[in-house]
Amino acid sequence: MGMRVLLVEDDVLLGKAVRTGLEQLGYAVDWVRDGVGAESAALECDHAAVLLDLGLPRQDGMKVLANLRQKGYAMPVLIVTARDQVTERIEGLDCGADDFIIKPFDLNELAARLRAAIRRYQGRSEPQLRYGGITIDPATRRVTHGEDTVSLTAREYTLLVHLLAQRGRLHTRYQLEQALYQWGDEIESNAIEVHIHHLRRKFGKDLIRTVHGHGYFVPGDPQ
Amino acid sequence: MGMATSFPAIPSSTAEEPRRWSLRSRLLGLLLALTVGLWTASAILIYDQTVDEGARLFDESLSEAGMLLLQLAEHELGEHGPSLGVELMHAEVHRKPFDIQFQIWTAEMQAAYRTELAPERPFAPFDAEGFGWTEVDGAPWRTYSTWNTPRTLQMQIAEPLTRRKELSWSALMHLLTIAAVLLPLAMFLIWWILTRSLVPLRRSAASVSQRSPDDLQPVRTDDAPSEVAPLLAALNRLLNRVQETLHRERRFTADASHELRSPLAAIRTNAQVMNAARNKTELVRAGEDLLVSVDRSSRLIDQLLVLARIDVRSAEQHKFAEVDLPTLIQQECRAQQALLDSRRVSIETELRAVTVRGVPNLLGVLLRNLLDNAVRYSGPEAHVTVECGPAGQGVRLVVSDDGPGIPQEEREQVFQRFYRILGNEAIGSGLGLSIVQRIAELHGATVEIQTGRGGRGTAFVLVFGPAKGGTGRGRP
Repeated sequence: MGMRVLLVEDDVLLGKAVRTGLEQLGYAVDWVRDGVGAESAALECDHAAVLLDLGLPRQDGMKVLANLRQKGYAMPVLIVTARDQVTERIEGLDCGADDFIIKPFDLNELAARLRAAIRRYQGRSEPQLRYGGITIDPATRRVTHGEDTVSLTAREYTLLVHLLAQRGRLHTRYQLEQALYQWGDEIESNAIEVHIHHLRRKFGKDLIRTVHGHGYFVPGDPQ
Repeated sequence: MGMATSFPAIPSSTAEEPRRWSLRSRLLGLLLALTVGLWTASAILIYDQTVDEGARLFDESLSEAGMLLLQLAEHELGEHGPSLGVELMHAEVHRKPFDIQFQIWTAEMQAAYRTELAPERPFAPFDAEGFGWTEVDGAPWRTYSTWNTPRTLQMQIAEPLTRRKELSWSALMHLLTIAAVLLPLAMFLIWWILTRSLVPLRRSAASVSQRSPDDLQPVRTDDAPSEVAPLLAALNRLLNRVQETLHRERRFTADASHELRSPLAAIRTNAQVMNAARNKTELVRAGEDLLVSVDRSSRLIDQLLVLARIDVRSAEQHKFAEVDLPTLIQQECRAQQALLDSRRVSIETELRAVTVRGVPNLLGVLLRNLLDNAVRYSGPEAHVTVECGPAGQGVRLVVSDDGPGIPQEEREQVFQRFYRILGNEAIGSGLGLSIVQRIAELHGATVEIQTGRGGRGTAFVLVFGPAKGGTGRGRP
């Protein structure tokens, strides 16, 4: 459950507001304002999901979606548009959209649909993420370890979710930075090490393993 | 004969359909009347001809019989003296009674012979010769009188008119028999041909009247006769125009709803961002953006209302007047002063005294939009120039700036509703230039985008045609 999403929205005011709103909910948001930029941004960077407006300059959103799917882009794509015709919804879903959200929307609903789409993509129907004694509820961002509620910063939370959702997989420091930080964020050179250190202090040393010179991983099965 | 059947009525908006005359009934009536009339006229002519011809033939045979009988009588008299009779009687046997009667008179007016039923007095005046009429027992008879060559005997022969009447009666009956058979046949054929010929018409009417109100597909014209095809073609052109208008309206509604929803979404999202603000800066920024979004919505609604107001009225309904262009320009420039100052945009005017025939409010809206456009898109500290003056027969109005300009390939598109140039941070309604174009159209003026002064920026050039009344060439 990576938390970096791509926002494609040509309307400056709305784009700015959605970006801030999603940031408040703990997402890292990359924002592009036209169809051509959207396509290359989606293909270049590793986003957990794409929020796609349809009426875009340079290339229509529907075309962006069709191109991405044709090129094998598998991540969830949610269409966010003011076009409310049933035919467009059908076309959008048939084009490979995972959801269709009509403007104006509720920011919390948008976030919920985003979580649901990401969850479906990861093949889980259960909203909570469980690993060992750890339970994460993405809707409330509540994390429990055994009986205790654990308090995490936004970055720590995102990092934990990212590692647990892709358990068993090795992540380089660069990949983790990509998942945690959006364009334009200043990244301290040892930021990831610091976050990992904090997580180990809160959940025990064995949760996150280090492969020296390569990166970090969470074992496929909890021990 | 099915004269009363009419075409399927085309549904109309009025509750009571007025009684329509039927093409088929009219044609049927006229053709039938014409057929019967012609037949009657020709029957009368034929009857007359037959009667005349019959009379001639009867006269001929009467005179021939008379002369033959006279010769016979002369011969008999020469042989047997005055005791005439047997041979003549014999010749007479073949005739029916009351058929032909004759009298033979001597030059001394003595009756030499007469048939049994012939009257004792002569049929015709004694010295008459040729044909004549007489009356025997109150009935009309045809007579013929002739002398033998030495003028010693006169033959007077007569036959009753009834014989001739019989013949004309039979001719009449014959004609009526033909009519009784042929007229109904002709009527049936006329009815059948008419009904068959009008089938395409009926089919076209049915195909038009049976379609649903929102079906604007063209009517099929391939089997329509040349008389109906132009009507159907005109109908199809109308349908096409209606469909275009409808399509345009639908697209506009879709665009407008899209354009109204985006600022609403921004308002809602900003409000939620404010609720969840993590610090003061975030709160203040979202609040500012919220205000801008509200302003944008209200401006968009204003512009939509302006467009709607222009579109609702046709060109004739607007109040045209002679407008003094320099005065109007100065007014609008003063009204925009606050906006100009806030962006540090300077404005210059080069005005020559001209008037155009137009609607003062709308020309004001046009100028406001052009000025607003120039100020919004040419960036801070730009220079805007407004010029007006005569151009050939008409009047020229130019609003130019030294901003980034509009690329050649986008100069047509910027007049489309909701079109915005990419990468422009300025927030407009996307309707300003559509409004400009619509008002120009209403005034019969042309709008063109050119490169501004010194090869920089944008110049909107309006040319008002020579004054020819205020109706312009407004779109319907």
